[in-house]
Amino acid sequence: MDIFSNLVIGFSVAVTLKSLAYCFVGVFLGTLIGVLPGIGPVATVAMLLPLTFKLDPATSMIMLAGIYYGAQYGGSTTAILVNIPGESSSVVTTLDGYQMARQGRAGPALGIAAIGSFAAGTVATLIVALFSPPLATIALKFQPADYFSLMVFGLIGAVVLARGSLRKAIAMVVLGLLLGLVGTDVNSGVMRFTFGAPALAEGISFVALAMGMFGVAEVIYNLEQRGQDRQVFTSKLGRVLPSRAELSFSKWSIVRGTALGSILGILPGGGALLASFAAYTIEKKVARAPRDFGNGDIRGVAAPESANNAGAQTSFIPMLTLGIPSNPTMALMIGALMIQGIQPGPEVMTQRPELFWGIIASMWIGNLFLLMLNLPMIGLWVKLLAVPYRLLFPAILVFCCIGVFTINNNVFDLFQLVAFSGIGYVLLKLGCEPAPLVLGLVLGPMMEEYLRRALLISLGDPLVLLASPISAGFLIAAAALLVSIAVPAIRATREQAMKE
Amino acid sequence: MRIRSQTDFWCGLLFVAVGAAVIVLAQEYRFGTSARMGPGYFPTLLGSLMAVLGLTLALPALAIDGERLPKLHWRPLAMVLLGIAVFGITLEYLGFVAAIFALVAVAGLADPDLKPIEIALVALFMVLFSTGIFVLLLGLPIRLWPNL
Repeated sequence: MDIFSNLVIGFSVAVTLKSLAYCFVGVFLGTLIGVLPGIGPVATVAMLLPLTFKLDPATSMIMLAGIYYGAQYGGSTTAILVNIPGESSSVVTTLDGYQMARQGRAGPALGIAAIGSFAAGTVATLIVALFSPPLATIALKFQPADYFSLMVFGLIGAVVLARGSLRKAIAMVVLGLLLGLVGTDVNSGVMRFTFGAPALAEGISFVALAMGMFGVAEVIYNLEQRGQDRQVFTSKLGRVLPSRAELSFSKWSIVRGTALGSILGILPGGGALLASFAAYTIEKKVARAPRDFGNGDIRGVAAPESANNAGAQTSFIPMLTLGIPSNPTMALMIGALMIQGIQPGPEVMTQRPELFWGIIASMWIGNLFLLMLNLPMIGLWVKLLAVPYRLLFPAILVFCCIGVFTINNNVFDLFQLVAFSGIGYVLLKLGCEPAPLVLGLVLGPMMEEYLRRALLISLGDPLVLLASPISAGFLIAAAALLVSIAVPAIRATREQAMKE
Repeated sequence: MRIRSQTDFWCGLLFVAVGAAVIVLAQEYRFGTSARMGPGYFPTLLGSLMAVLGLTLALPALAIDGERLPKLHWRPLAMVLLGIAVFGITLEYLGFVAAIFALVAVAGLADPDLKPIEIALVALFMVLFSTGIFVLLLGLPIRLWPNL
């Protein structure tokens, strides 16, 4: 198959007036919500998910992709201007970005973030187009045992790359898997853990859980940090376009960030988060002098921003080819596809090529819109950020509620939102990250089904998981990951990297 | 005996409790055999794993120093959760417009600095903005007013 003819199919889907319009609206709304302090891509995508229900599958995915990139960039804007990262992947952007803003160079910081993101997005889109088809072809040969072990590997990967305590992260995965069991068992028709509530027969509302843990719990958490100094640098924005000197100064940082982000984005659990941390750490070591990291070095913004966008892009690869989410946002995308009646997996590429390539083409278009929209509109986002949090948080809550309610038009989902917001807040307080839990929730039912099938074929012999080379490979890799994290030396490096 | 790492200890204990509860509840469902897993098989497996993980967290916490239990701030927690619940109930009986006002009014109590006039203005703005986008523009089926 020729990649160029495929891309032509893709662009013929993505470059229609309708697709372009929805992509544009997606990027705009994604940035608008993503700019709100404390609201990251997961909460943004969850909030805006209902907007895509009435669209056809291709258009809805195009719009969601736009929302995702917009949210990602919106998070960086908050990181630079207010020192509040919208989500963990823009934590490192605050280090130099906020310093630049304090020195009156917020404009170039925002500009280089947009330019770096666009360059990284372009390269990463090509990588997705090149590597997805062969991977999907391999994935078509997977047996149930292989899928089960792949998911184990994915979850372990997500745990190892999560921040904080390893044992707590594993417990979060298991808790997620358990929550995924709520509802009707597909094989026996038995209602499990529904406590007699018919509304739970379909399982836990994924959007309510994600919104509660990433949106509402975060709002509560922010409210108690009241009184902390939150200075917004809005007056001295400076020029938005970086100067020629600044561009050439940071061009290798963008290249390095892109390369690192593209590779790390494919890893389960990696995505944008690990990419941005690693890019910053490496940049501090290899960038040519004069190095002024931590005090407003523009390369400290360029590298992680390029890396997190490249990572956000390539994290589509496991989602598109295997139907397995590598981060909570991808889990939401899979949820959105299932609402459209499409089971994500390797079959999508062969059976719905227009959808598959349309999504890939729209990634690049989304990035283009991001650049076009954000450079001129930065002023508007800055104004939004000047609104005090006490006026913003009720608005955020209204969006959360509307987003959850409109999924099923069911008030019961709002009570689920209440429950998961409370649970999410307590977990946050206990130092448990919600991301592994969300992945577990999505993968739970699939894992049970694949394990059931694998054991059925092997007549109950669990060694089937080691008999296939693919399955054994994944399990060995997962074990190696776990061991590596237990080794003190590597563990220390990980903790140090996370701290920075 | 003194608990040295309070956060880890209680967190671990919580996980043990969840795991145990799952195992107990799963006994209602047929366990089956490995070759023919019943609906109780996977939950029992996961519940046991959860309980073991909880123990590995709670037991070392008795010996190794760690964080004290974090302080919970009840006011924002209670008001935000209550606000969402009230939104749900109001939406069911009185429609969207009243529900937004109710949510903003109740959740607004989470922040003592928020003045009543600000609550009213934010609520009014959100009614206009979200009705415009979600109901008029996107045509989502939301009932705006109470059925009379």
